[in-house]
Amino acid sequence: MVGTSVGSLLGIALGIGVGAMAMAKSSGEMTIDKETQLIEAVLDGDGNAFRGLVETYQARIYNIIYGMVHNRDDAQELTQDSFIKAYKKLDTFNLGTKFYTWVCRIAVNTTIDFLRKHKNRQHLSFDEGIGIQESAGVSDMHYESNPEQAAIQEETRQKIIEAVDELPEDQKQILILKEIDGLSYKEISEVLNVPQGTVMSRLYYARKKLQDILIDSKNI
Amino acid sequence: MKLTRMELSLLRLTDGIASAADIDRLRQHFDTETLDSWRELSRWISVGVTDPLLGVGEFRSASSGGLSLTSSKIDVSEQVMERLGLLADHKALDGNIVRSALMDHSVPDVSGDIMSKILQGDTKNHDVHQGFESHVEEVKEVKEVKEVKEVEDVDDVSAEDWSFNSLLRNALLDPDPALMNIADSVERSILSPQLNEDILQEVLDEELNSSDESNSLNALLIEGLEDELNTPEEVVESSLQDEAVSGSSLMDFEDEIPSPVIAQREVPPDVQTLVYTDDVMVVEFTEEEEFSALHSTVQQQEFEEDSDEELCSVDEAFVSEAMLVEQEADWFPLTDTLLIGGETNLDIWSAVSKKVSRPPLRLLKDDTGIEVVDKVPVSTKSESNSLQQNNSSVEFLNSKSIDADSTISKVSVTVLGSFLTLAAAWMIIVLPSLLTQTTSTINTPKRIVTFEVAEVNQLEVEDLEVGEDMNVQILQGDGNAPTIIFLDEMEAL
Repeated sequence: MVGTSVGSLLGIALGIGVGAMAMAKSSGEMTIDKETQLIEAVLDGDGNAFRGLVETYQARIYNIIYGMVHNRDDAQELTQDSFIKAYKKLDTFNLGTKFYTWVCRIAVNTTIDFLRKHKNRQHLSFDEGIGIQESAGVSDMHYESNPEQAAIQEETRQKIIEAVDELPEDQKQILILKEIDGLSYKEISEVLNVPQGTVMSRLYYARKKLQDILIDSKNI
Repeated sequence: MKLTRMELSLLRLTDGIASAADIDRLRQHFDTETLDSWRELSRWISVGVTDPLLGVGEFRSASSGGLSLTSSKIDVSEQVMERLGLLADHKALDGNIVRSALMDHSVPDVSGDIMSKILQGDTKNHDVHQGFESHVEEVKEVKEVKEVKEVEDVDDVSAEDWSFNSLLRNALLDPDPALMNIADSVERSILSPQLNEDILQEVLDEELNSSDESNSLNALLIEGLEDELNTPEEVVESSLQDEAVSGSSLMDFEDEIPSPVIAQREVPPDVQTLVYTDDVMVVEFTEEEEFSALHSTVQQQEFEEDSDEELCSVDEAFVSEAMLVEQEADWFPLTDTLLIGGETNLDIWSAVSKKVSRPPLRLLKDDTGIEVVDKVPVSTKSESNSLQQNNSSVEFLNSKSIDADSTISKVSVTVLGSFLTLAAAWMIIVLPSLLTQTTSTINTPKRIVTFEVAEVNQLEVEDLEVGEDMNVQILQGDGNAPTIIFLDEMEAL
């Protein structure tokens, strides 16, 4: 019974998200050599070279931040802040390492600071998501003709977001980096500066809690 | 923190890298629906948390070669570059901004007024100075008239200079009468040819003498402006840096973390196989340790053997009642014999007697003086030799070679025969119960014959010769079976 409920829930939730992981890994990949060239150009005074780095990684950074704040405006603002901080601190970047990991770390820290400052802030992801989705015309065609299913889909999204928000902060970060951005355990450990085993255990417990929360909410 | 094998299997299942062994293990604990929910959990979360603006189309365009920057709905590059560009402009404006912020607008900027008036007077002073030199003999009144006329003859100044000067003057004018006086006095001083030589010093002196209060304020203001202007822009800029990039300068990834135990989703096939077959992997996690330390811990990790109890769960239907009955039937006879204590059906004698029926082979004599004269049928001697060869290692303590034709033949056959009969009877009846003894005593009516059997229970018989009417049988069984010796008198044929 429970399994069936979760299965149906998943079937709805997966309506628009096929390919999310593919996006995470396929978009914005750049070789370290290319990154190094751009960074060296920026350090030599060519500010326009930084645009290439921003354009390459902005979507991934934005998604990570959005997963943490659930607000588009805040996510965009924090994405900009993250890249600007990276630009200002670019002289401290260790050439030869992954720029994305570095800037991702800056983004996570920036978002954490933001969330601490806006701890009691209400996010409007649910209503906002519906409105923008409709205006942007990105609704899945399958659900456009079925408002009831679209409503269920959004309700599911809201439950997932609430469930993610109930997770401890450290587990939530790892969950987002893994599930949204598709980072490997090694990359997550580099971004968050925690051991790889800790990443695995936190990820398991995050998934377990999420599963339990969603099942409970479904049963209620 | 530790993860059990089952938890690791769930982790792999959600990551999409579960092996067949993982799935088999999980199927013992979860139903299919639950496993499906775990399997889809990753995508489920990604859908729920991802911005709906980046929908399917966005993802697909990304997967087909990266996000299109122009079509991307999330493009902050322009804003970032714009902000970075604005930051560059701010660098140039920082001086003015800070200067303006630092400036107290209630304090008149007298210094600017003074300097502008100085500059304004330069042209005129030059002319005045030339006139003064050319007309040095003229009387003082003429000079004054000339000077006044020159000042009043503003039309001689170009319209552009005049407008600039007038605008500058008006802009610098302050309603404060004291300052007005300062300006007027400065202007008069400039126009006075007697003061042209050190006009700046005089102006400053006059200004400084006009008001002590304004003097101190102006001095502070000038000093502050100079300090601010001398401040490097980098210092000001760096003070505006957000400290959220905490530790970013220390972000050194040179110390590479060892390869992951479980790779990301897109692992090559060979690596996948490696991961799949790593069933013994149980990772011991330490929460706060550096990864290098953790890695060493992993090398010494404790492997839990089937902690998921999969080997402990046995289906009740596995052992059927028929199997139990069959098993009981197999075990009962042995149990009855060995444990219950029932009589054995071992018929040693019948087995022995079959061998005894064979013709006698040997003659035995001990060192007690008893001599046995026997005869063995010739036909059996070869058998005796063959048996002797088979038992060549048999040792009989204190045994000696016997000559059948020696004095033994002189002993009464009757006595010997009876003795041998008793001995044989005794050996047949009593010996089986005394097999464990190493020493046996045979009581006979006339003599006592003692056989000492070695602990190894072996006899060595060599050069046996028997009389014609004496039957001696030595039975040597297999392995540790006891050796049985039969002495029997044969009736004369």
